[in-house]
Amino acid sequence: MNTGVYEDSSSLYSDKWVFLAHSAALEQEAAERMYELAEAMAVHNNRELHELLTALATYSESHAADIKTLCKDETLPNFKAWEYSWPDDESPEIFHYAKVHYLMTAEDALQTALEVELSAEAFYTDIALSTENPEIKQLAGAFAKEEQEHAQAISDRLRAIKTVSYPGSLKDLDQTDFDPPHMPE
Amino acid sequence: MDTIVGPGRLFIRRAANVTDISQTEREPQNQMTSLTIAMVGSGGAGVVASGEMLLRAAAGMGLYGILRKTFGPQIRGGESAAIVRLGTEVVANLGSELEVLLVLDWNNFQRFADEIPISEATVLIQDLQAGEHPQNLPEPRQTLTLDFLGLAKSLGSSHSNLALLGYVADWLGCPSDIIDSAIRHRLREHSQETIELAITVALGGAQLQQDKPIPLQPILSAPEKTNSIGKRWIANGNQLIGLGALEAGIRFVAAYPITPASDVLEWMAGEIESVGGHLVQAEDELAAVNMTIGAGFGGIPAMTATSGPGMALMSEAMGLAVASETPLVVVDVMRGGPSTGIPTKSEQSDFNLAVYGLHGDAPHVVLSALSVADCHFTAGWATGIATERQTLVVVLSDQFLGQSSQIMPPLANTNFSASAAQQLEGDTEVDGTQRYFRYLDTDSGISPLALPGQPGGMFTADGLEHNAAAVPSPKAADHEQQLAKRLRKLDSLVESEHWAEHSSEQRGQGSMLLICWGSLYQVALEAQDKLREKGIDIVVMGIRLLSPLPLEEIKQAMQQATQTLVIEQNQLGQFAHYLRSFDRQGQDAALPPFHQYCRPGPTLFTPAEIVTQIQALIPDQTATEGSARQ
Amino acid sequence: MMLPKEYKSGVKPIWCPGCGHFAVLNAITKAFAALEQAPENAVLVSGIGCSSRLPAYINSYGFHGVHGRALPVAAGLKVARPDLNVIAMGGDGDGFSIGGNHFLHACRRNVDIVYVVMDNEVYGMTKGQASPTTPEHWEHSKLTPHGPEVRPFQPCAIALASGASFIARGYSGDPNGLAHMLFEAVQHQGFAFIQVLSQCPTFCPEQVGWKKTVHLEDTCTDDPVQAAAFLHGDDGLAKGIFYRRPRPTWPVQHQSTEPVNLRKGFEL
Repeated sequence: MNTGVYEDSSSLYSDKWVFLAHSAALEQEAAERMYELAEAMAVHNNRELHELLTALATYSESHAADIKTLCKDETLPNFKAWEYSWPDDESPEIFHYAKVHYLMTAEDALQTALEVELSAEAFYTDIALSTENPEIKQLAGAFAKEEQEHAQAISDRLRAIKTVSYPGSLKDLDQTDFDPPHMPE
Repeated sequence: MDTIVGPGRLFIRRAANVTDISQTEREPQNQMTSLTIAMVGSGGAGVVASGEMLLRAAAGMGLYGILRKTFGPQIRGGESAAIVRLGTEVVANLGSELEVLLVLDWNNFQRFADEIPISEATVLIQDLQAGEHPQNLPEPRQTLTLDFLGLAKSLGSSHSNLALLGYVADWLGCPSDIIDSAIRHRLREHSQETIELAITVALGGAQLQQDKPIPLQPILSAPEKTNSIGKRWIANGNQLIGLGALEAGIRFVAAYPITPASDVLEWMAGEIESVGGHLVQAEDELAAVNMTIGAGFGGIPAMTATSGPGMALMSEAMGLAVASETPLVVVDVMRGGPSTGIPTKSEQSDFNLAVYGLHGDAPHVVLSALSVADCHFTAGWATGIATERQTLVVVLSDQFLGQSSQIMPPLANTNFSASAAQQLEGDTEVDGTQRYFRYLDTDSGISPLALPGQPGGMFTADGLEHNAAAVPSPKAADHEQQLAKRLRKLDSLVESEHWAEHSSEQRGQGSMLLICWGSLYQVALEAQDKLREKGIDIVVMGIRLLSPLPLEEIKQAMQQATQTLVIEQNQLGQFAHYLRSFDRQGQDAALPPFHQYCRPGPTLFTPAEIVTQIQALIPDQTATEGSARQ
Repeated sequence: MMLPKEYKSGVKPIWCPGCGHFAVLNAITKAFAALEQAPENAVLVSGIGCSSRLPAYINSYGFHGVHGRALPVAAGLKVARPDLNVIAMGGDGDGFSIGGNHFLHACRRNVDIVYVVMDNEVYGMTKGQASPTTPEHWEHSKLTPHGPEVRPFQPCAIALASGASFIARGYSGDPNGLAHMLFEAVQHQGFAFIQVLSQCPTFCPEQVGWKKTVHLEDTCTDDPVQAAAFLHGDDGLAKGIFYRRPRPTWPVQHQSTEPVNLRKGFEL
């Protein structure tokens, strides 16, 4: 058994419905992860992040809805989670769990959101360039453009937040935790 | 002088060649309905096996009886004894006296001499090879020294215990065919050769009795050999716990071996698969109780059996059963404690652990079995309560009840049923049409219970405090609600007619009340009989439902009685303290004052001991007798 | 057919944002979707600790027991109710320390359940003490200021030695791979053990680095000698199914005996 990337990724580039199943899953998972994270922030009383992440989730969610509309009545292929052909372990537009911290700031969240939008854009761009299926080429190109627009919007938002400049990674965060962990059980 | 009383009585008549003894030393002969025989040997001498065969032979004769086995903690060797008390009516305790003591080996006798009530009235039969007679024993009335071992050897066997068996059985008037079948039953897994030789040795022992009889003669007006004799049972309390539980619907057992509870498990292991259940030997008691909780959560009535040390390990998870409202039956066959204590002997010292041993406010049910036979009833009731009320039920038995074999009439089915009880699932149904509240705050306190596999009922049972919807919650309101509900659902139990057994319908009106629980109940009943002969009337209350305690009933009985004595077999008077804790001085609920008598094991309580205690409380017996007659 | 997200109960996790246990939750929903698991026929059983909160977050039956005892509860349930899909879960402290004995015997007994240990090498719920899998010189707990100074427990090697018939290690950074392992583990007949490297961003922020160091090893074997050689040379960061060797499960099905009269043995 191979627990890694789905081996046969060729159909992603040749079968429109396989491509759309990936697109739908990509957006759906991105939205779900973002909502999950938003909820976690709410549980941890980080209201600013809760609101920001909820807003970001709606980008992906609306994109997922668009794809659904595009498919009309067609039933997309039903892949098991590990059967998708993602370039990495998870779908490209997803917040990796390791990128998240309860003290993360709006800049951190926006920066990560920017990264994942760009990663989704790269995913679609690669397909648009590589596929020989004109329909897929057209769709992938359009999706890449949308992701690029999302990325631009997030970029603008990031710039609009006039606080300290983006510190880069968790290592650079101020590690002072004025609200140390509890001991519930 | 020969004295014979009516049919159905077994009594002792002195053989013509025996020196007369003073009547005052003994009970009036016309009250003698039982006799007690002890067979003592070093471990491995087979006296316990002889006791088992003797009991079976007695049952074959239409007698009743009880057999107590007593061992040291060794696997082999050490000391062992079989004490058999026989009678023409049901015998449920060992009594106070020993008529005949048969000793194959005095070695190690001192280690349990306390448990063998030798008196001047005891006739001693000892083997020629038995060794030195201990110094400080009361001088027996008469001593016979016989060569049991020599007899066995002359017949090609080393088993003097079988010669002893034949000797005693013949004295009881047991026909050889009954001895024969008792031996065949006990040795059924041995070779034909072994069995035949054993029978030969036993018959040799019987012949020896003809030649050199025990200088006491039991006159048996044995009942007519009717069909009813064949319908008698021989069972010990541990087996009957298993039977009561399986008949009431227990279908899963997980446990860890521990003396003296292991034979509950061994009996059940042999039977449970035939009724579609499973028994798991777990890696420890922690696993055992948690496996049992898992099965109970799955809707399969489940129990475990252990003794004090094991229940101490289980107590955390017992709290989980209370909090998660998972049906669970835990049987504690008590032994001497604390720590490893005296594993092979009886004591009632786990009361506090059973009632108070859980952390947090954890209302649960504690029952005590009131006799060997009552182990059957109490296990059935426990199973019914646990499933009906979705809670923990602890059953207290003890080594005496658990490991004593008794001849008894066949027991009626208890008619408790776990599956029927589960129909009482609370005030609403689980049908998936609306949100399911596993821990709904109902009037009865019992909430609708969904079982895995049931659509629409999904919930996570939790040891964390939770709200009615089974979502973890540390809120004060939820905690109060759930605590109250778990307490309330046990309330109506005290209305059950099964809460206690009473020796009289009057329940203490105008006489003294003796309160006890567990194995002491049968001893107390015999004490009551003895007191009646002395003109003292008492009423005995054996409490089966220890928690929640039917306080109003007890208080009423105490108020009606002239005075109350609480007895128990532990050092601290654990139950008496518990009872006293309900005394709210100066309020309506105040309990009348009561006396207590408690002492630890391993020595068994005797009827005579209880009689002495009661007599001490009644200084002017004439006056009491007078008032009792009014 | 249900979507993964439909297997969530709606109860909000108490876990810290960034906790690896979210990934395990995610993987279970994905595995259930792939298995087309009827929610009412699955039971998640857990002990105590951060990870043991998981059953409440899944739309199935659950049992949240006491510390260290998830395995016995799960085994008792499965033996009593073989029709159910029973998954036990918990953390490294719950499973390997207080519940360590049950782990050995569950591997040995081979009841047909899955056991998922979310291993973050720390007691999170009690504020960051060293667990059996904490590195020897991890000095971040006040309770063990010099580090535990004890060699870490080797869950997979011990599972193998104890007789587990399915042994795998997953990583919270790869929920899809973990979902696949769960999918295989549920279908495996017998005791299936999955150790999940599940980062604790609060007490062990260094575990964020697992993203770079965890590596896939495609070494699955049915040969215990080969598996032992691999596990003893393992850096603890390999993921994959390492060992799979079906063997008879417990309880053994005996020929069904005719219903007997339970009382017969008492009659003379």
